[in-house]
Amino acid sequence: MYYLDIKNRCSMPRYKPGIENKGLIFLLPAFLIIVFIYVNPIIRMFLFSLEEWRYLRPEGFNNFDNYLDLLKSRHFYTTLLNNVIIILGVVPVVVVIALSFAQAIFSKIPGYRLYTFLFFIPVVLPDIVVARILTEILNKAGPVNSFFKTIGLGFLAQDWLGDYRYALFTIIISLIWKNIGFALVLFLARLTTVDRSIYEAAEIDGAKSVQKYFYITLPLLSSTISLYIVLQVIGLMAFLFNYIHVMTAGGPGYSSTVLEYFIYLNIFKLQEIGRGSAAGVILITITMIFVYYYLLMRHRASKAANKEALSQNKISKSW
Amino acid sequence: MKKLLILGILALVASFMIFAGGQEEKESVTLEFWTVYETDSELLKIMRKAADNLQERSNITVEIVSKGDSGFRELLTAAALSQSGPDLVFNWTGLSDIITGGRQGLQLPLNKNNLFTKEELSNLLLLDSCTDPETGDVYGTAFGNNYIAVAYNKKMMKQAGIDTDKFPAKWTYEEFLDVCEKLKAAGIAPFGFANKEGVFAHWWHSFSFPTYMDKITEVIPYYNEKPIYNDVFESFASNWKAFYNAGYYVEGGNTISINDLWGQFTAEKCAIIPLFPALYSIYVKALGEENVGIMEWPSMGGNGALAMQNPIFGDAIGITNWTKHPEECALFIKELVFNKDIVREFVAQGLFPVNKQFKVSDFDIPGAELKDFAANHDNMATYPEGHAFWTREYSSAIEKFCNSMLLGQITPSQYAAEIEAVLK
Repeated sequence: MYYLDIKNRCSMPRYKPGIENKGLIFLLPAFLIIVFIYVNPIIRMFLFSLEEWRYLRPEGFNNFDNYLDLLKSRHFYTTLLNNVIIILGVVPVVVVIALSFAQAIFSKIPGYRLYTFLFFIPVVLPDIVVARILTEILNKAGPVNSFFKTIGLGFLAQDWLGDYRYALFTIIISLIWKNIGFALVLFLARLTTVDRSIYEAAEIDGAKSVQKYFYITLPLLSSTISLYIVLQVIGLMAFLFNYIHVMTAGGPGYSSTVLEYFIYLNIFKLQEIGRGSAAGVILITITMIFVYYYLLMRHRASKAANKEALSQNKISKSW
Repeated sequence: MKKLLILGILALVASFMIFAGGQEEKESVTLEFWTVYETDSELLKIMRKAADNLQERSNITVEIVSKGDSGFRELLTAAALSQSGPDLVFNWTGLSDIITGGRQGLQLPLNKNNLFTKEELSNLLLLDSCTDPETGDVYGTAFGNNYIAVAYNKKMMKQAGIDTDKFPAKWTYEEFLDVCEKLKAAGIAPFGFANKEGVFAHWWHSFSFPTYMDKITEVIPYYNEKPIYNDVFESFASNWKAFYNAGYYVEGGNTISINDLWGQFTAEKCAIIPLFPALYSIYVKALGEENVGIMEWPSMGGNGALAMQNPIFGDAIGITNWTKHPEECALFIKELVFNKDIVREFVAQGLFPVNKQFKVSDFDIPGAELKDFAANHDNMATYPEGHAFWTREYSSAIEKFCNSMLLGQITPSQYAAEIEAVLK
């Protein structure tokens, strides 16, 4: 039974003292396991970042020397910049392409089912598989360059993954290809929940397709787009390891190294545990800012949905 | 009388049970050993044979786990960090791997735990490459002496009009370039190249750079102190870049993984490839023994005394710091190193003895090519290859910036500067 207060409270079961506390107790074991698995490594990483390390052995706290070391490293800034470039290169392109195709598929253009299927194939493939396939295809002696040479466009046959001018650009293209499908499905799902009567009313008022798109579709999709952007940014900050490791190993030099890979290089290659952990703390901090923003947006979206429900005068029931 | 007879029989049965059936069985010990050798490699089979020998005469079982080459160092790093994992680990004497592993707490010293006698250790080659120069701790031992050589495809050489019967034991740099040029002219990629991770660069840098020196210890300042850029470094780096620019490497190799390097040779995408003993059987299996030639690593453009000598390094083994059975682990290592039958099997695969008491010529080696090569080995002037002395930071900088230098994105002096930036 739900109680809907006309004074704008969220719909909730009526409060009965005592029940909630008992529920929490039952949740405690699971909560402790989650804290141990998720929170413990983060705390340990923070502690590692404050220690001096020699041959994988801690030798006491060195205050924030690892962070200072990092901030003096130009390669650290290169990796941060690479992350920013990837985000700015992938997100807008994916959103624009996915929106366009979502609208087209929603309008049921000929072959719309085939397009949905084709766009979704990269989504279901594991990242490693995608990275490996693209590495083979984009190799300097691979089929893409062979094709360009065959059709007389030999100047396009570049070392896509081995040249510092193109490595990051190639990674960006790969990520766009991989991520369009998910965005497309997300936007399409939102479009299907839109009340068609709004479009009909707009048509009656003489609105053109472009006007309907910009004044009805996009505003209705705005919350979904915002949520998607935040999720995508989190993914592009913290889930690129597979691509970088398989396709370029972060090279040439640091031209395609991102912060996540920089952490791996420091810890496993250079065995600079302190500096690598410091970079990990920075990565988590940046990611948590976006996660917080994502949760805030979810909360606001939830509040907005409740307001909408109230304004449409839903039936209220009382105990 | 009857009572006495019954008592006597009971006493007999009791004593039988006490002495024959009552002895405690010695507790069996199972050891885990991580190695890079592939599951189907001949060298792994030899290790299994050594494990079987040990099991036959003792209660020790050795489980040999093939981890592959890729990511092996990272596995060892994780094991050292967690102080848990196998009882024995494969490691290399190069890249200061085994010494670094010891310092990290991965391996325990063999000379400080009564595991090996002084006499046993003094009989082993390449021990310096396993010994921490600061503390004198011996963190493992090579069990096989790897010569570093090249394998070549005789069929492809013939296609390029090159007579392999006239090959010397070791090419001078000019001879090597000449062969590469002829192969390239015939449309054949001369040398395999797979340098995405930078491991190939380690080898090239390590095997080539010392050829500018008279003694291997002369490389130490270049690997550990600043500055490193000078005429010698410029000459070495420029030679390397010229080799790359001449198109003597497989195209696109700077984005190919090292795991795919051997496949370039077995798939006949290149005519010449580095040869380490573990690979010989793989090449022969793919191309046929009659098509695989071996020769010493070519001289690489240097003008030092080491230019016409051959680098060697060790496949090594160490006992982990956390094992509960160090004595049993030591027995397995001794089986690999001191058992002549096992050493014979290794030599047949081109992995030469580290025990100074054995000469390669003591053993019968199947295969004419390997036999000829081995016959020269005892007289071959060798030196422990250079990267036994370099730091992890040095190798990391090579991995990162070698391709940038080869592709012309940075100059040799900038390459040296990037390496210097990581040296403490």
